[in-house]
Amino acid sequence: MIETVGLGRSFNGKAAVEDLNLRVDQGEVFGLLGPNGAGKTTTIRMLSCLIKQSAGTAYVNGFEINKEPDAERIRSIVGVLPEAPGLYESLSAYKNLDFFTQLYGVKKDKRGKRIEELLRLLDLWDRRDEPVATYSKGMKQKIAIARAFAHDPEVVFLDEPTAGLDPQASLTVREFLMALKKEGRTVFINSHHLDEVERLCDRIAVMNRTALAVGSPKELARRYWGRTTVIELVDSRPQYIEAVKRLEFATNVRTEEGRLLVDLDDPELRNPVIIDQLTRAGARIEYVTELKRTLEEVYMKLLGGEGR
Amino acid sequence: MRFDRALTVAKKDLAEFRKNKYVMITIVLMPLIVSIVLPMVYVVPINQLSRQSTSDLDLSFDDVSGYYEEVTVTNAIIYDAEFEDVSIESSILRGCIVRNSTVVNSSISESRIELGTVENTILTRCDLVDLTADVGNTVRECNYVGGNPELEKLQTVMFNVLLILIVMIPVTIPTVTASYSFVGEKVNKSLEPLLATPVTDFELLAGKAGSIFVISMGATWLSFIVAVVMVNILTEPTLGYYPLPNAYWLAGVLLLAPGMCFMSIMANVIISSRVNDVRVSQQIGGVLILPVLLFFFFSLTGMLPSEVLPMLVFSGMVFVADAAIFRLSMAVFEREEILVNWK
Ligand SMILES: Nc1ncnc2c1ncn2[C@@H]1O[C@H](COP(=O)(O)OP(=O)(O)O)[C@@H](O)[C@H]1O
Ligand SMILES: [Mg+2]
Repeated sequence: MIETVGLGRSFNGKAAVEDLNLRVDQGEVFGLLGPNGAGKTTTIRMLSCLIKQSAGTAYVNGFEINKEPDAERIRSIVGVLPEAPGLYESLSAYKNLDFFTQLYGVKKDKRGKRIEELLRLLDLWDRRDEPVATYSKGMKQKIAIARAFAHDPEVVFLDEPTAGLDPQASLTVREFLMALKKEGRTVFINSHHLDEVERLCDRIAVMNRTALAVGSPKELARRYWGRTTVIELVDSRPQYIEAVKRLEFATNVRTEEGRLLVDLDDPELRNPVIIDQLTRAGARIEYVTELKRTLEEVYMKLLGGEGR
Repeated sequence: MRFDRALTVAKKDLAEFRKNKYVMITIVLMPLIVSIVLPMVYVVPINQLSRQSTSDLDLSFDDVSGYYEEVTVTNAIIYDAEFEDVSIESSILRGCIVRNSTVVNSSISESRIELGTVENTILTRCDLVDLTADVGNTVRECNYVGGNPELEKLQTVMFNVLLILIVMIPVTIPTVTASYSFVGEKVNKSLEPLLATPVTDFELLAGKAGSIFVISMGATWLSFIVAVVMVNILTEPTLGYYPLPNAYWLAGVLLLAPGMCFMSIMANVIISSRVNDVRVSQQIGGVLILPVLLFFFFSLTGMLPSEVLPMLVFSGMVFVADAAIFRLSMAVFEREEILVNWK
């Protein structure tokens, strides 16, 4: 469990994080969403006792951050994926994981088993003895994530786990995280990809210096940025739009660039009804997709259009 | 302080050093040159100074024992005589006592030579007491009493130069290894995951500094032993005794070298916190050799005697500086400082 109480940190008089109040439950996968410079990394660094806070405090599994002897306890029960993988390039993946895990005081045979388990899960077991320098960016990131989980931490902090990865590598990293999610740890993920946290996290906080909104992805979507279904028709006629408008749950029905857009509270439930309605009206449907929001749009909404 | 964690860090660093060809070249090549190649170069003049042997003797008459004062002896073969204030040239003497005299181009054995000057002469099994000059002689199994001034002067220079180079090993190896160890870790961005582990700042510094200290001093002491053996093997036949190690050398290698090694490591920690380039770090680190060079400059020019006492005093000064620089590097090597201010 993580709890922050008025947590703040400034650099050279400028606040990077200010009055942050969050609660993350045991076993929860929590996403901290915010643009570059929002203070996400600073938050993770404070929570993992890497840098000190300048205001407030926080508790990780009951231990107070940056206060000895609690800080050393926190470091030993926490796993961290920093912004950069930070692996030793000349050493092998196995050696890298073994070294860090040993620093956490994990005994040799237990270490070996856990590292093998993680490397097999990542499909890197066969290349375990090759120097990390020969690995692709995505592979390095996977090793770094494995490192964060290797000593069986109670709480894991992941700072932008898929940043800078190509879509393919992002996907494997996300799948890996999904697999690890089953282990029931508290996981705290920083990200500036709305999409990513929506898929991985039980709950999300949107932050810019301080928390702007907190809730489950669905709640937040409904409350702040809504969900929009996009329907592409073979030919778009006014009567089709009228047919959809007749459905009372469909709000803000409109066309953009020949596509039909409908805002919905619960698209999973409502999409089939809309499609039925359209088909009955004689429309032929090419695609049905969900409109992807960018983080920037979310911010505009949250901050009432004043930008950030 | 958990020793096992410091040890884990040290072992990891050593594993990285093994994979780094620049580090390996420095660790292997530098001691090799200093301990094997340089002794060969440096002992040559020593041996030459001793080896310039006498010219062919043209002996025209034998002479007998007796007491001689203020005469000139040329082309003589003399046994069991005693000389005072004489000039001996191109002669062979055995079992004599020669006091306050000048000997040139001769061969003297089993004699005692006191307070004189001896040039281009073969000396075998003699007692040489307080000679004022001793130039170009071949000296075999002689016993110097009060010293051999010319040879000693040359030896002092040569051995000082060799000692400088040996003391440079523990200063230089850290500038290469520490720059990879600290700057490398910074450029690699591996300090952050390292600092996220329960390892304390001090354990981390101890592990990293310890691994560098061990390889630097290992290389230094190995070079020292090899250099001493080399010098002794190469000069003993002409000197008639083993010149090294003397107390001056031992103090240099056992006190000054580790003191400078520690200073070099700590200085490189501080430098590493401010630079992002291994080469820049090495260049700045090279400045550290200056105080050592200055000390040896005074020794070489004779402004400081090449004896134990100045070496002990200088080593003591280095230890004091070590303590100061250690406190400074502890302040620099601190989690918050590393993550926020190391650029
Ligand atoms: N070491 C530092 N020194 C000065 N300013 C910093 C430092 N680290 C972060 N900041 C500032 O704090 C703010 C938040 O940074 P960060 O936590 O890295 O944001 P994020 O991870 O969300 O992109 C930024 O404005 C950044 O410039
Ligand atoms: Mg960040």
